[in-house]
Amino acid sequence: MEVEAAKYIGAGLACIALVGAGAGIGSIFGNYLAGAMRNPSAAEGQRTNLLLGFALTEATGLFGLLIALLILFG
Amino acid sequence: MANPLQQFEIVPKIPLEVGGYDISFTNSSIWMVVVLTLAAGIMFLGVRKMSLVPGRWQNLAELLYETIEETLVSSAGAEARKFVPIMLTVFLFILLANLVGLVPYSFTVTSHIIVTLAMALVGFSAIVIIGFIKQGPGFLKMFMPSGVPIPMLILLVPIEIVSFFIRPITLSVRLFANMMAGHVLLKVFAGFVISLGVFGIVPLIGIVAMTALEVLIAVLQAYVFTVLICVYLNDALHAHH
Amino acid sequence: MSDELEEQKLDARLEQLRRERQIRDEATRTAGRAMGIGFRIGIELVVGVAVGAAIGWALDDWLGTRPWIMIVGFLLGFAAGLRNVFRSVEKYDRKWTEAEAADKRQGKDE
Repeated sequence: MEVEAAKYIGAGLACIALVGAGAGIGSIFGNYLAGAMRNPSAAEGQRTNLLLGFALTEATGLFGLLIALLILFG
Repeated sequence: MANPLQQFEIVPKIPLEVGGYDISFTNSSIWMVVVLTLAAGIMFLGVRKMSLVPGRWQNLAELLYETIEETLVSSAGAEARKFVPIMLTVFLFILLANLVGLVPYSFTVTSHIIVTLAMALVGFSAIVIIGFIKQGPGFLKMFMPSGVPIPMLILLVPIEIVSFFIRPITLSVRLFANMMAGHVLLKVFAGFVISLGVFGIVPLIGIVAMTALEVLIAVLQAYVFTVLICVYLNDALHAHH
Repeated sequence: MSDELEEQKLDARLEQLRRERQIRDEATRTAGRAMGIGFRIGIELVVGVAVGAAIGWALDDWLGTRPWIMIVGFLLGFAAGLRNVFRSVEKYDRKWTEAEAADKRQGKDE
């Protein structure tokens, strides 16, 4: 196989990491909303935790993207 | 099926070249002139017969003016009121360009990143200059989050600087991506209508619904662009805390 | 006498209609704003990362340090994108909390 072709395939495979990030973000916001519906008064104080979880989840997904960029341009 | 990107093609109508630069009058330029004429026309009709009880056109003009004024004052304070004319111009141009682009056989000026990026960069440079005029070198303090220990500053200052300089890019990419994606989607679905024959009625219904959504997005994105410039203007006018 | 009564009735009805309309306007405005924020946040992150990586890539090209500055730029861009997201969320959060408090106050008055 050509090295160039293998590079592109590898980059594509690395991007699969974003599937997990998508599912994770959906789960975080979904659960937050479900919790907030049950106890709206407690929702206010948990918003920082929500954003922290969101940032961490997004970061793991982006590491996959970083690997893809490294394969392509590194 | 026709290429869905064909609608974004720029075709020179009157070829012109000055000093090695291609400054042809293109279809994009034609539609920009159309949009500007429309904007000027609406405002001209609005203020032609001023009366205490506003007529239709005056009502429209007043509504537009008041919306922008309210947005600007609520996000950048009372001293930002002198920027209402320029913000109204920006808003009207983007709004009409987005809406005119939805008319079949027309061209969406804002679906080209060069147009939106140019607008965002002009606005951004103006804001930086205004910031330095108003606050002097103190304007740079906005990169220094207050109440943070010095070791953290080494990490935070670059982040603040990068987050400041990606503003014009996010601003323009948002507008351009929304307009372009919407039009490509409509075109692709329109292709399905032809190729599916009788069953084409299903994507046709989809297109009708999506066109309604596109109108909403056209207005929303024009408003978001204006609001964000107002918010950035606030940083320039008032010292950061 | 009856004229005055009629007028009062009309005034009350007008007032009620106006209030209903205000509530409806407020609802549509909030929905539109939420949608706007949603669009904003997604693009904010993506563009932050893309711009950070692109700047790093260009610097790598210039300084010949491939791929290190790109990695740093990528992380920096991500942090900057997040910073912008947080900033906008914070601002709208404050606005909404204020509006909620105002609503509550109004409810008590009536």
